[in-house]
Amino acid sequence: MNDNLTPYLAIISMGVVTYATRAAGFFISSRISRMPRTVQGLLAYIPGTIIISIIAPQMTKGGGVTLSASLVCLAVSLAFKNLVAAMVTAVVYVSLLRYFF
Amino acid sequence: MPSLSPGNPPPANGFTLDGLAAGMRAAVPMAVGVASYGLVFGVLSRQAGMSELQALFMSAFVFAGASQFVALEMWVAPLPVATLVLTTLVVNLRHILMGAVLRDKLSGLSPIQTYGSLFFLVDENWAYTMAQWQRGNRDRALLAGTGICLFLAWTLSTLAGSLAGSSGIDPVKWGIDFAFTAIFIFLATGMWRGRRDLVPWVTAAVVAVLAEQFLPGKWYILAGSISGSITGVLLHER
Repeated sequence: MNDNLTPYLAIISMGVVTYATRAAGFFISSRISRMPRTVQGLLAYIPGTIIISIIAPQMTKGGGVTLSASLVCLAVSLAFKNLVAAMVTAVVYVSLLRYFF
Repeated sequence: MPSLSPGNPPPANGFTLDGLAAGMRAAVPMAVGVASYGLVFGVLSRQAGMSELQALFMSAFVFAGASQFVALEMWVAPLPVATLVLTTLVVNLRHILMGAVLRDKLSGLSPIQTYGSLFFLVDENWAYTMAQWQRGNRDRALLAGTGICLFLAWTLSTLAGSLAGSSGIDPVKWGIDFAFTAIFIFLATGMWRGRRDLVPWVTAAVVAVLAEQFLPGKWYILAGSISGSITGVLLHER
């Protein structure tokens, strides 16, 4: 595989499966009466558990710095419900800790 | 821009050019939020070694924030294409539910209108459009209109962030390596549905941390998510 083309192949494949998820719900539901409750329940748990699975190793890997930064970020997220505020606070907190310690 | 057959007589199914324009205007406040997110994606895409063209191409073609940030995490040579695609699929599975909910509202549209609108389906405009339609708004172009506005905000801010991100700063020194984690912590607070999520989320976290030690690549993400979700179903959905 040509190294210059691989990223584009990856992006195109990602786009195709993403569009498939967008179209599939309407496509399937307009042909069957209703989805089994267990399937609905499973799908509903996936977004949250995916995010948790991504961050849990990142939070624990960097020791006290990343663990405490995660708590700071969580507090700001809950208090202000603003992505940029949460991210900037956490990044500044991490860079200050690394600068002084 | 998809072809939405302009110039035809006003259709009876509620999909009009006026509606499309109204949707684009209504989405401007949402677009500001999306653009700040896209700017961050653009900057981080440079940190991950992605070119401007690749970042722009991904935002235009995938157009799904969470899965694009996850992809950046995996963007190391040699690219794990199969893992990237499988993870993208799993991250975006929620679209299936969202699309299923739209069934009755989109059922009068032509296939091009329906499947064109669905390309622009994201969390923000889905929530907004569902609220409008449930309140009796009969404008069926709202999903596409709001989506096109968010699409422009997402792609242009990605390009701007990517251009800004090539200025060569040390990400670890400035804590920027933690920006990913911060974004996902923020996203997680928005996905919390109450106490029934507690045990599934803790399960996912524990399995992910353990799997990260023992499994190759990024399989810990799927391992954690699938075990957490199954735990949730076993506990609460039977």
